[in-house]
Amino acid sequence: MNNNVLRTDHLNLYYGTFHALLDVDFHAFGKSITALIGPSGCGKSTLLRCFNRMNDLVDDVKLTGGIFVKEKSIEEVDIIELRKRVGMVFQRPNPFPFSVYENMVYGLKIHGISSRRRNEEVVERCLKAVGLWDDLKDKLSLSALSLSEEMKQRLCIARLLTVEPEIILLDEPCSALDPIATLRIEELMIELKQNYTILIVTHNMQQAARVSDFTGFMLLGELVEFGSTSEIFTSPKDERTEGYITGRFG
Amino acid sequence: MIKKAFTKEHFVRGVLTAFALSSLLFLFLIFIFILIEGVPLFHKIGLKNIILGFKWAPTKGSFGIFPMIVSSFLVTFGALVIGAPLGLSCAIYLSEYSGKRLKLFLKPALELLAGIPSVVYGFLGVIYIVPIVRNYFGGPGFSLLATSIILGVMILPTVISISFDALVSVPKTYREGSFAMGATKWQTIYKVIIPSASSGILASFILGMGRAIGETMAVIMVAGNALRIPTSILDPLRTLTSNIALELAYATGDHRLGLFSTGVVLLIIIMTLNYIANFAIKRRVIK
Ligand SMILES: Nc1ncnc2c1ncn2[C@@H]1O[C@H](COP(=O)(O)OP(=O)(O)OP(=O)(O)O)[C@@H](O)[C@H]1O
Ligand SMILES: [Mg+2]
Repeated sequence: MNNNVLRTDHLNLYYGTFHALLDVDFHAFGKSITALIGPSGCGKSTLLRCFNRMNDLVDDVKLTGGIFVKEKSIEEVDIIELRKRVGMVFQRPNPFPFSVYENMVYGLKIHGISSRRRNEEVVERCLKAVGLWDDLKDKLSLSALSLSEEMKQRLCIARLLTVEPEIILLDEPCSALDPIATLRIEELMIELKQNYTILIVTHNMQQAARVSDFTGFMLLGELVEFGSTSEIFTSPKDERTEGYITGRFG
Repeated sequence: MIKKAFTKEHFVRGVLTAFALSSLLFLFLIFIFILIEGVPLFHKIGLKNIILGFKWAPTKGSFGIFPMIVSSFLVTFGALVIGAPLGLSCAIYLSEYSGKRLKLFLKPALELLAGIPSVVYGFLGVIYIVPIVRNYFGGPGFSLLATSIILGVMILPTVISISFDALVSVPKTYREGSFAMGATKWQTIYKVIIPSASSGILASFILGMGRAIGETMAVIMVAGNALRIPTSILDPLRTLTSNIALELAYATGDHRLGLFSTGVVLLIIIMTLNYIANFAIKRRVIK
């Protein structure tokens, strides 16, 4: 069965002369959580950002090889359409400095699908999906910046859901959160995977083990090993993977 | 040895403090001086007769500066109508679109623009703007329109540099968040970056207004200096600053005091604008 929602084919990426991704063959399956782990600077974020072409924002980036979303090369997809389908959550929660409501309807507005009746329905549905509705339903005009870090991150996820992505990329989404908030966001991810394909970068190996179905281990721009999470954590094939997960380096 | 170095430190510190305080002292002295000279006439003639009076005939006992107050605000507003959109567009271009090299070139160019003496602006106004206004729009040419154009250009450096600073200090994460949702560059600028920088942009407009309302030389040269409230943008007008500069040389007695009263009003307007601008900037910093 070919259920590759995300895939790269001999992907190489250069920042100027720096070779950041080396011949990466990666794939992620639909309706599951795939984690990318590896030491700092190994290219996890870079790989993640390939799928919604966020690296386009960086000057002097060169790419070779293929990147596919639902087996369609992303070169053939309009970048706006692509980013709508492949949403992203960042390391630091980044709600806009507007009200909760304005944050939630931003995506609808930029895609020209905002209307009063629709907005209210979407805001409610998406805030419910991230477990914020009960807390915020009477405070939609509150500044998003006044929320707690966890709520901000949830809001950012909810904001994404408004444009109905199929894939959600998360780049260390919990690194600005305390342990309890982290666990709650993890629960949220597990809930979301019923409807979305999730790719998460994390520094936290326990987190990868807790939430993900598949794990990729990266080192110095290379995808060293990829497999089901239980396999990677219990019987890694590559000794570098084993070294990393047993904490010998990284 | 150690003790000696220490006292030298103290000495340097003391001298610097004295210099720093002296600038404050000058400000204070100027303020007091203008008040001492300007306030008595308010007592004698009456606040209302000066501020709301229509007739300025200082040798005959009429000190009404209402037309000049209105004119000052009109040219300031006119300058803003021209300078604000231009300046903001330029700041947006600089912060969001221009490459690094252009940025490096344009910033000093702006500083140069700020450094051009106002008499040069006035001169260019008289040579080019006034005839153009006269020939294409009618009237004497020396007018609210001509003055607004000149002032609009003169406030550009202020508007551009302060709103540029506000725009570039919008966190990168907001931009990323917007792009990642599929927003175009213009949508991101228009719907996220400008609103996020709005208080700084507002401050740039207000400081630009302060610059416009205080400008004297260029205004005298192109405004026509007529003593009445203009009824169209092609009418000549006289601002508070021009009034002082034009008449101070030969004014004596109450006439001279009347000019100081004009100065008091001007000072209050400018201080208010600065206060509002500071408030806007501070709000941004706290946020
Ligand atoms: N914009 C850029 N320009 C040049 N080099 C970059 C750029 N972004 C990242 N790099 C380099 O590419 C390599 C991979 O970076 P990346 O951010 O993908 O690592 P990461 O695995 O996400 O690390 P971390 O865990 O610290 O987030 C690093 O060596 C980094 O220095
Ligand atoms: Mg990273």
